Amino acid sequence: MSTDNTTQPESFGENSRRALTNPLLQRALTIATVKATSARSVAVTHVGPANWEQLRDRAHAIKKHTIENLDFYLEKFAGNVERLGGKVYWAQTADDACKYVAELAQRRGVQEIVKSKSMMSEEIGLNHALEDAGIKPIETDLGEYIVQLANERPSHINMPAIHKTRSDVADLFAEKLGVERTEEIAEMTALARRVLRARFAEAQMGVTGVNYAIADTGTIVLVENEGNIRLTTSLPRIHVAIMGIEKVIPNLQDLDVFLLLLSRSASGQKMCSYVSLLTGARSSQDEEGPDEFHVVLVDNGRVEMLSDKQLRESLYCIRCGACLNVCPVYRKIGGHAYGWVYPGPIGAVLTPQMIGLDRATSLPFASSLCGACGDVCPVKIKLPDMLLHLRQRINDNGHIKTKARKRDRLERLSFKFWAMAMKTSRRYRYVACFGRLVQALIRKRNANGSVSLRVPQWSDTRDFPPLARRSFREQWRDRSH
Amino acid sequence: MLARIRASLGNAAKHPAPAKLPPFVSQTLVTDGEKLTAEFESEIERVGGQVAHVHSSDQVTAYLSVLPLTGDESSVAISDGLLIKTLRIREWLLTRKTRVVTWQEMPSMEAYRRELLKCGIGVTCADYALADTGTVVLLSGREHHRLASLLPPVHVCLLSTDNIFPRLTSLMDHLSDEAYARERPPHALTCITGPSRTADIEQQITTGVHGPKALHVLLYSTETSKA
Ligand code: SF4
Repeated sequence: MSTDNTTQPESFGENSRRALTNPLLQRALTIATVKATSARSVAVTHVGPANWEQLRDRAHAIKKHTIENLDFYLEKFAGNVERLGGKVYWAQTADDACKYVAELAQRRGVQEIVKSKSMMSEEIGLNHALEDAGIKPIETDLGEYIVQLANERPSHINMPAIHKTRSDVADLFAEKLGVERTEEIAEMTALARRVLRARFAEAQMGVTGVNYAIADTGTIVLVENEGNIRLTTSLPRIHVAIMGIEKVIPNLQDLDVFLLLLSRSASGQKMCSYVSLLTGARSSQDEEGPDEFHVVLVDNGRVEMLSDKQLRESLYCIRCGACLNVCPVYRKIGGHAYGWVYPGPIGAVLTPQMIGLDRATSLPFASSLCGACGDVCPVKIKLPDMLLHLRQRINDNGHIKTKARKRDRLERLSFKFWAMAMKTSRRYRYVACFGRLVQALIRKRNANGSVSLRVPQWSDTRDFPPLARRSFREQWRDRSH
Repeated sequence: MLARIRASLGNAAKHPAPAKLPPFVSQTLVTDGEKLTAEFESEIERVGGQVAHVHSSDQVTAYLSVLPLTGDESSVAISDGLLIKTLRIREWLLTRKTRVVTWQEMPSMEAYRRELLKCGIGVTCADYALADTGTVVLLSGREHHRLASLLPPVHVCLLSTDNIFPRLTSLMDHLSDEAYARERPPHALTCITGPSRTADIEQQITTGVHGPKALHVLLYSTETSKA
């Protein structure tokens, strides 16, 4: 886990308040999420809603089937990688995985590693581990490079620098790279290319993530737009791919469905610029590509997540980012507020499972339960159900502070009373009548001139609308006379 | 770890291979050869690539001769693909006194890489293409085109129109029975759809961030007259 960052999941409330009062962040978030969401909608319309549903069902079915037989497919995948000259390392914890990579680099005398964007590498905190071992990790994805220069954490799973405006990046490049400041995006991009090309030309070792792993052939699949993954996997002498054990799918034919869904859900593209299928080590000295190929299979809590039938589905995630882009909470607070590696709805489900329910009690509540995340998820993960389920668990385990629990009791009592009042129309009429009489006592005028009621705690963060002077029934009766 | 996974899932220690999922049939495919080429063309243009039809060596060299080569990047890299050899691209480049970089003539992989970084254009063949996304597919093994298609800022790709598949599934069906059924499946398969791009700064699309800034696909067919 990264530790250099200021935000933590424990301080979610405070993080979000800070985000809400940052106008630049608000602007950056709106531009990016609106663009991504509308691009996605257009792409889905092109496929046709019926076809899209069919694809989502298929992807869900493949994931379900593979996860339920994960032992079988993982064994097959690992067997094939080894048969074709690759090395497989089974890492139970984040530390195991980091240690393997760092020690391999040390054994081979590598001082600098070029990396492509990988959420797994963020999850295990690989960059820190490498730095501690005296090895310099260099992020090569443009967004990730920006974030690394700024010494921050990515705030989105596939648009890492979503929180930065062009002027932020211009300042950063001028300061860290000692170049003349420019806000021209094309120039900044060309500059990054030049700087990173020099690193690629020297690099002895490349580290990537994995989008899909094909059990049948021992192939890893990498999807990107920039070309830095192609460079990372073809120039250095050693290639290490790090993947969560849930990334396996049975065979090459299954890939089509996922590629169809992934690019469209992430950015509205039909197909990303580059998709690489890499199988084993190169077969001869005559072939292009690295001499050594290593796959690190990471558990880091996933095996335990498998045993949890209610939350197991969160392992189907293909990290497209669509649920972040549509989430009304993410759109306002951005990724850093979540305080850990995975933000947005999927982060609110994964983080409590990975770092402990007690450290992330706020996250499952960071949702309006509008259901948008579940509707867009290309693998049909029932995110809203899981969020509710986690809320229940947090409540049952007594993770909520006493003050909140007291409020909780009051809330439960009020709802009981409400249910009783709604039982018959007569009761309802009486209660409403009584309410109309007493509501004047708790009326308040809001900043924007509207009127609402003051209900302790409840109305701190939302409006409680007053009852109308005359009920609908009364008005109706008057009209029909 | 496998034992722990089994325990978590409640699977028996040695269970038989799981039953396969039923095959998946989705959207209808274009199969008509003419239409495939047309679809491929319009898709590749949509993603910012350029397409031209060529039927002879002269047409290829005419196309190449107008591509600019400047400064540090004045060499041309060509791969050892079959079509490049038959069309005698190398010979033509040499008559123009262009510095040509080929994998075969390099003493080592390091030297090859160093030279490639000084190339302005990389010319390779593509093994297959996908019509519905405008994708060219490069398969390692027969041809050295992995780096030549990646390092120079301009990638020119020769493709025989016979090798266009409707979409990824059809190609994967074909390759699963062929290349990937072999004892030694291809080490690298690369799908290329348009030039290298990024939208990491303010979601504004910029090309050529790490890979080529431009992609030209030359569709080769032997028929000489075409409406
Ligand atoms: S949970 Fe679904 S929508 Fe969210 S990132 Fe994962 S796959 Fe995409």
